[in-house]
Amino acid sequence: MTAIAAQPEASTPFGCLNDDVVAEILLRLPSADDVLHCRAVCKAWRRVTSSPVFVAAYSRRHCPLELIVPLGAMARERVLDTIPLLLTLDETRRRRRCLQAPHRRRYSSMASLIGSCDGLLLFEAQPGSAHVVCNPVTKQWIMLPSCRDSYVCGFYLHRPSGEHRLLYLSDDQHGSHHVYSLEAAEAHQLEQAFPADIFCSQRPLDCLNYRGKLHWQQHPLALFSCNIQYRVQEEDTSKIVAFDTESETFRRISLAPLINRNPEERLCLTETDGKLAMAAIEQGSMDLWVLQDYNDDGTWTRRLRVDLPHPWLLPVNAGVHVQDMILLEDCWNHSLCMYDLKATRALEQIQFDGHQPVGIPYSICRNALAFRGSLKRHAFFDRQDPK
Amino acid sequence: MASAGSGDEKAAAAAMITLISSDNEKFEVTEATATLSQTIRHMIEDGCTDGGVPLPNVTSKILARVIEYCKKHATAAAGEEGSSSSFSDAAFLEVDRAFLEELEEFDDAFLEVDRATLFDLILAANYLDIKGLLNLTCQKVADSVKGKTPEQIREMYNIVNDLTPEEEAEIRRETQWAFE
Repeated sequence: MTAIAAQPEASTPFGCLNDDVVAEILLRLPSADDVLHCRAVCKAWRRVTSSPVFVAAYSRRHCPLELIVPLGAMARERVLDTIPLLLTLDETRRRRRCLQAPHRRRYSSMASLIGSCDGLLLFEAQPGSAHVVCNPVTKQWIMLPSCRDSYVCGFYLHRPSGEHRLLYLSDDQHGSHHVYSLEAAEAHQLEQAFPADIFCSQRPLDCLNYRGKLHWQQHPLALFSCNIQYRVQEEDTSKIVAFDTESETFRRISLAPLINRNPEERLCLTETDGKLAMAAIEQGSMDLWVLQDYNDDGTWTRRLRVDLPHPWLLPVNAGVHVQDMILLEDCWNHSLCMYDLKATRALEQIQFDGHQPVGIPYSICRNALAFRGSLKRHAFFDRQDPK
Repeated sequence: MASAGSGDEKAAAAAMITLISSDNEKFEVTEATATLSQTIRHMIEDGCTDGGVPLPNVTSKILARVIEYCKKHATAAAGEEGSSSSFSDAAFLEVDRAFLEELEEFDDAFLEVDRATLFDLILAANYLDIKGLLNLTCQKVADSVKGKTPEQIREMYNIVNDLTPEEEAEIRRETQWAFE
């Protein structure tokens, strides 16, 4: 067999391989940085490594779901502790990484990490300020225009359009709820007038994405708008708020009747057996409630009642939601563990070097997020930052 | 198919397949060896291997190497399946480990080939759909690319930079900042 070379003096052995075989090879590169280098080699490699099939396969193979715990901020840097969240927290592959912003002054708004969606991280300086979105794997950044009088309270992938969107709620009677699309670089108003709560000012964004619907567990952390016109009914204050990311409409879901009687009780939304579930933890005892029929909030049933290994383990109310698991923190000893709801046991704990001495309760994981890296290239990163 | 085996079992175990390379050389291999290739396995299942399997994309030189790999790994697979229960678990693990080490040494030695042969092996492994061999050879090439700059990669493999200035600018924007 003779290979036909386009240029006789420069025939590359890769010339005889089709895109699928080139992908087979490049999929085996251990680090995403190597893939980024390959994107800069030639057109064919750029095409192969940018294809959605390659990007998805690479994530499955090399990018585990990780727990990100922000540890501190320098002028241009964010120090992040990242721990693979496979079945358990993988201590051996825990790494400390620095995230560097491109321009010191313009990106000062990456003060806190508040959200994660589809390989993207969302930062803001304070509720109501401008936002920065970053893909830490491809090292791309974009600054979003700031929206006055409204708060980001959700970051999601809108499946029908494939767009990444931010949900802004307003607590101002002149303001309006709206959705901002990263891809379209524009906002559109939501039709449904939903009584606004300021629960959206909670950081990081703490909502469970269950089947394309975002769920906020409100009480007792939520505050309510003092605007009389929009005042939420008293009985609604304890309900879960759900936002359907496809139809972009809201709904309230009642809690199980026995939940939330005690202010000491700590609640945590999760998903088990493919169903929406709520763990209620009080003094080392946990009840797990499951919503049998998602469309009927009269169908909550108690799945289990168990004692936790320590009475001081509490759920981390942050953007970490893994199926059939809840993340528990021991604030007295600055340690974290995953609790397996199927096996009803706590998996091994990992320790943090607290800034506070052991024995003083302090949550180091208040801002923890779950994240899975992606090499996806987004055209919106090529836009110019707003002035 | 005619068989000289003394018993049914032996005949089944010794069922032979003839593979024919692009330069018309014939190779007789056992079915166990040949079926490491999913492509050939499907042909056997469809009953179209009588009179030999022509492989117009594989030269005799490469086919000989591929068969060498398949023979070794077919023995490994047979060893796993036909494990006798007379060994204690510990002794069994010991045998297993020794065998795996031997297999690893074989694979390392197998990869000691020039670059052209390595790429031909990748093509053959892909065409014949031999997962283990494809993984082994692709990993070897991936390891050679690992940690290199785009310029070093192009130089190593004679790859022509055909990116447009716009794409180059895009790349520069993409790789300006670090996350480590």
